[in-house]
Amino acid sequence: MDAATVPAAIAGEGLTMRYGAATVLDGVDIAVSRGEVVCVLGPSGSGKSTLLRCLSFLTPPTAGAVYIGGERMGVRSDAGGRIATLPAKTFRQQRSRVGMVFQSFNLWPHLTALGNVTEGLLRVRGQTQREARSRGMEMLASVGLADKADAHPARLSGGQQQRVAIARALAMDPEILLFDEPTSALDPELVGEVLAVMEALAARHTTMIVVTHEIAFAAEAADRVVFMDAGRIVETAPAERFFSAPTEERSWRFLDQTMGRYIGLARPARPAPPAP
Amino acid sequence: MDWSSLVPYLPDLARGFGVTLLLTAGGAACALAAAVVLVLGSTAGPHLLGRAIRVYTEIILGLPILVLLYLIYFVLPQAGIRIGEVTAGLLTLTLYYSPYMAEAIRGAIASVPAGQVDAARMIGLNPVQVFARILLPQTLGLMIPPLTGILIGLAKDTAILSVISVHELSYVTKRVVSRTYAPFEVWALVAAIYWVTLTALDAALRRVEWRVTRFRMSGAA
Repeated sequence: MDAATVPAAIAGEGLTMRYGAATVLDGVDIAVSRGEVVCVLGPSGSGKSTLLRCLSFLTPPTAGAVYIGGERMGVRSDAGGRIATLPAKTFRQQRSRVGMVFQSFNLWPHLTALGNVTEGLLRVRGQTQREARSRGMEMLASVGLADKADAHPARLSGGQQQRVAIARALAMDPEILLFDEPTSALDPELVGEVLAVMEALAARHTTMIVVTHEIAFAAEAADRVVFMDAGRIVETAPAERFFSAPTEERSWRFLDQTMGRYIGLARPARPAPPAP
Repeated sequence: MDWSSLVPYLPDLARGFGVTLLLTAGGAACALAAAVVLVLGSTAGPHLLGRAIRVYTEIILGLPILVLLYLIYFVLPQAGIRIGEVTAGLLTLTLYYSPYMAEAIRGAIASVPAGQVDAARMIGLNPVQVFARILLPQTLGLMIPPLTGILIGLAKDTAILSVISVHELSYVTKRVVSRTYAPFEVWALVAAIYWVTLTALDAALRRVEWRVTRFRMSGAA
């Protein structure tokens, strides 16, 4: 297959989310290729998290479509071309191809770290205790927490909890991993251990969409940056170019306010004003 | 007062008591199962189902149980649905108590952060698994106290089924009174039976609650 015919790992078309009169997401188009790492940047309230919730169908978009590996999510068209809602079970299987890591970890506190990781393997994949346990331990080891397998989440630090949450998502072997501000709820000194795990995933070409405020991580790990404001994509560009020479004034202002000052990256070039 | 005149009727009363216990157990099991269905339907079902459940809940909350019982026992047969008195009684207890139980369950599971359910859905758990594996284990201790109160209400309301001739304890008692002409002695005895039984039920459920929360405290802390 040549590149043009390979469907995107995940794609959104015309994704729109309205709550009453408010439009939180306004016709967003996004496509992420297999193995690509995309960071979504933008000010608070710009629709970044809503974008991930729409892509994962946790809140199905008001309008627009999501495709996983070219397959439309949530619906199927029958022989006559009519579109019908997918049966719930088929839909759950389809969605389990997407993994998600949340800002607030969302571990299940009554289960151990290993229990959190194996729950889906046991109940959804139908693995035996032994298979699930072995896969679960492997996943915990991959985030450096094999020794915490029997600890309940309340006994883990925020950084450890988020690493368990990453292991939980990875255990299901998703085709795409979505990260919704995975380090925003962490103590500053715990951010590094989570970013290190994510960097390792990126280095292995795991397909990822990362909503983040960690500019340094985006500059380091992202192949491409999507910059959002007011529910729309303002600019999408290869990471290197985005951070050195953004083409949109709005992106430049955001970068000018956030990056150089904290992390010592070179100040990006200001885009030339559009020709009159 | 003549307690000895009661003795020949003790086997009758015991049978009535047995029926009351069975109605309580059966009614509680059916109502609890229906309540879980109501909770799942209103939280994970399609929008229209959720609306229908809300309307149903509103209707039930505004009806006396006696009226519901008459509706089921006397009005259903006119619509061509024949129904025995025990079935009508169990159906009434189920329809009447399930919305209250559903409210108690919903109140308890509302204390679980929504993000935990999001995570469970992303992993692929179905709504029943989310309820049984994620929500219930964390909130069982929270829902037992309100459910205990509702369950005791249900146990007491089995007495109302005597009006459609279900042969439970209160129905049998009325017949015994009409034979012995000793209303005080018979009703005093029956009141004592009800009180001891319900107090024991309350104590038993408190014990269950204690076990559940003790587990929760040692498990999560």
